[in-house]
Amino acid sequence: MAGDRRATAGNVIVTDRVEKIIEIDPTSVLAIAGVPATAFEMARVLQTSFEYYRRSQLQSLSLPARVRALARLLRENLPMTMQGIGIVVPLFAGVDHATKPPEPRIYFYDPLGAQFQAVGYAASGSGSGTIRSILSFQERYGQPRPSRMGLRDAVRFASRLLTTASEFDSATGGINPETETYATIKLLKASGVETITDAQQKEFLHD
Amino acid sequence: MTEEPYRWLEAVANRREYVREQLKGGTPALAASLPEGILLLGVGGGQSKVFELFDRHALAGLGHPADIERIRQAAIDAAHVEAFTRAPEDVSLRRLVGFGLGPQLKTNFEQIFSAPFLVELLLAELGPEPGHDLFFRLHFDGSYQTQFGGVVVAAIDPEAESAARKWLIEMMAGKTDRKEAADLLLQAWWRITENKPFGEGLPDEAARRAGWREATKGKEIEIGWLARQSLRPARYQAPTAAELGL
Repeated sequence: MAGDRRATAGNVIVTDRVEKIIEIDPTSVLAIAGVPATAFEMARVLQTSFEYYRRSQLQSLSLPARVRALARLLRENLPMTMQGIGIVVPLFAGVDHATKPPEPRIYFYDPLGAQFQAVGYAASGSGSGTIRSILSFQERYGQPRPSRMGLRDAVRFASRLLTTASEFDSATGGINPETETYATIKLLKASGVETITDAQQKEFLHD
Repeated sequence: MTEEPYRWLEAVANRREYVREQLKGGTPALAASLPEGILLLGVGGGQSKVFELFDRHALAGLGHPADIERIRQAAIDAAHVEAFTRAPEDVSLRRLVGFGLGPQLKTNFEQIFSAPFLVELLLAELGPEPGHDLFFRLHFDGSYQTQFGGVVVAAIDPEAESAARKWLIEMMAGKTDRKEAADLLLQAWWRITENKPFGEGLPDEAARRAGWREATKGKEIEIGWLARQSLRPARYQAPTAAELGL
């Protein structure tokens, strides 16, 4: 899961250092798009409630329950969404431990809380139109397909996607090695969540 | 019964005796502060003696399973509320025990018409270094003792608990390895369970080791490990005895 680091207010760039890819627990990652205040609070609620459940019930919450927990938060946020001041359209990736071997799955949502399982890829946010087009093309005609890429290629590909999107959308930050501004990239595996650091991204991009 | 002071005192004394009698079948829980983390250990039926509470906090104890469960839930609730309203870094064992569990247990113990909690507990908070690891030894009546680092034992008999602790402190001096520490804790566990002294008549290491192996057959060695160095906020792990090489 990869995201740029730009936050905007209208036509003003507020910062290029926001973390929009958030580890919720070792089996879940949330990518936020929309109003940061609401999105960060949703992430905090999910982090606390998932960990609370795991510790108190001595087992992890199932993937369907984790997916619905986010849907419920979005639905409860409906008044803010309708007022146009609190819309959040996140992506959620979780490991399904009910399958053998455990498999990662991607979900995307509408602002009202409907959840959809993605096949292969998903994108959200103001720059997602560009990214979805490229991903669709690459998945159909590309070599290698995104789903077949190794980590190094996938990181490079994700960085280039964000850079391309930033050329068409002012609210997408892109990558800027000159200012040491890299994407936030997290790798979700059955064994946990791994963060691809700025140093790793730098190395992969220079290969 | 409570209209005369001496009767109240008698009732409380009876209650203390009742709790100790009920706890007699329980086996001890132990914890040790090591350079790389805190090791907690108990022997039970699986997820019955040693538990994670929060990012840097764990609990181990003995007693009635339903009472341990109620205390555990109360501690987890309080820790998560604190973490959500403030920050995970603000969750402290001192607040959890001093303002939460301790007073609750005391109030419950002194309400002589309600059932008392049948528990003896130890709680651990991982610090940045072993000297800052904080332990609470919490009793069924809400009283508690604190200590930084070292070894803590929760047993029914205070004398056996003290003797085991003293022996473990001597034996663990200079020991840094988890396996070695767990082995020593199990030796102490076996000695307390067998109701045997730690001074005169203490068998040699091989016999002690054989003793705990025999005594734990058919039971589960429950281990909790609070790792000092970790990339994740939640430091608690539950390695099996085999994973520790026991």
